[in-house]
Amino acid sequence: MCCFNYIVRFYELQGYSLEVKNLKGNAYRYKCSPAGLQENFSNFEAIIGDGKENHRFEIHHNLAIQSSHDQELFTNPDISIINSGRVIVTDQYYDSKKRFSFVKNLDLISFCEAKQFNPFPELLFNFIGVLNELDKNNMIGNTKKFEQQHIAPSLMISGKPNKQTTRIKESLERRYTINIIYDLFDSGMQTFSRHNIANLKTYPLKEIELPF
Amino acid sequence: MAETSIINILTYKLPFELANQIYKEYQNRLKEIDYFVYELDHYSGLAEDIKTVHLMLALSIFQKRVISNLDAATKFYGNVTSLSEAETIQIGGYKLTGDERNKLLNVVLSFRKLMGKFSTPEYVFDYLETKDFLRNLMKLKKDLEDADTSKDETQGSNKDSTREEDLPF
Repeated sequence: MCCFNYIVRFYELQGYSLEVKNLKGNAYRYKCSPAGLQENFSNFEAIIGDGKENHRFEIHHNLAIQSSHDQELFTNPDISIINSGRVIVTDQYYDSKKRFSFVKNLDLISFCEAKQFNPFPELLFNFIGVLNELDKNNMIGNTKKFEQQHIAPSLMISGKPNKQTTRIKESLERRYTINIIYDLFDSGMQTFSRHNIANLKTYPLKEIELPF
Repeated sequence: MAETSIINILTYKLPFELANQIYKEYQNRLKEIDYFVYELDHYSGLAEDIKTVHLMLALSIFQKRVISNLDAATKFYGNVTSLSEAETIQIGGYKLTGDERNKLLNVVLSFRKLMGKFSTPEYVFDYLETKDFLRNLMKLKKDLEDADTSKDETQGSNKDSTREEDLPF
């Protein structure tokens, strides 16, 4: 929840307005595991635009995302940011007629993984495996570009780093468009503060073609 | 009668999985602390306050594993209710209602109040290795002792100034 709060804060500080979607009665249904259809759970929507032309993105918990390598593989990051209204439901995924909800890789904007641990090398390198699966172009420096500001894929860890894990973070952040954020409960507020938000990595902005 | 360990008091009625994590971390760090304090000269200054060190250790683990999560939940509740008509957050079978949120917030505030009451600055709980925690405590102890000394000096100089005021010139 702490991570979700920070992602919402990131979008707020980037000038998005936020709405809560898909309430069930007067309750926000929090999806706390990969099981279940997305339509049964609530999510946030971040909206940016001038009123005439608005861009909408949804922020979900535990949504299945299609791999960028193989259309039939999926993984569930803890938090995902996707194009609005693009969650698909299929009954072809399981052997039975059980339904499965996911989003196509094309509609994935970004994602975050949250870990309540002290950081250790394997944990950090595992995140790069998820990054490779969901955003393969990021691995070769051919990063996606968007017209709006979006947070780069992020690994958020509650624990504090030591010298070795700090070194790994610095190296990985140099190589890929990602954020590795440590010490979430203590310095998280500062990391996602108005003053510091510019230090977080975002996807590069697409150049907008002028009409002349 | 044997004294109940502080960690058992703090984890009383917590779900087993969480209580177990807290208990294990406490026991592991406790062994390290006792070794550092009684075997290494550098930390021996804390030996006379070992009971307080154990108490602070338990509180720091409780803060990291319980209070910070409750704090996040109350903030999330605030986000959701300020942006929508929602009155409840349903997490599996658990319902976080307004009343429940107030209870959580009360726990968070009581914990902070407790820290304030015993002059415990945030940096004390800001550690990764147990050695860092002991260093923080040594710094706190020194800060408190310095504060006591300067208080005494101030009181002393006040006495002097009173005497000066009494002088007829």
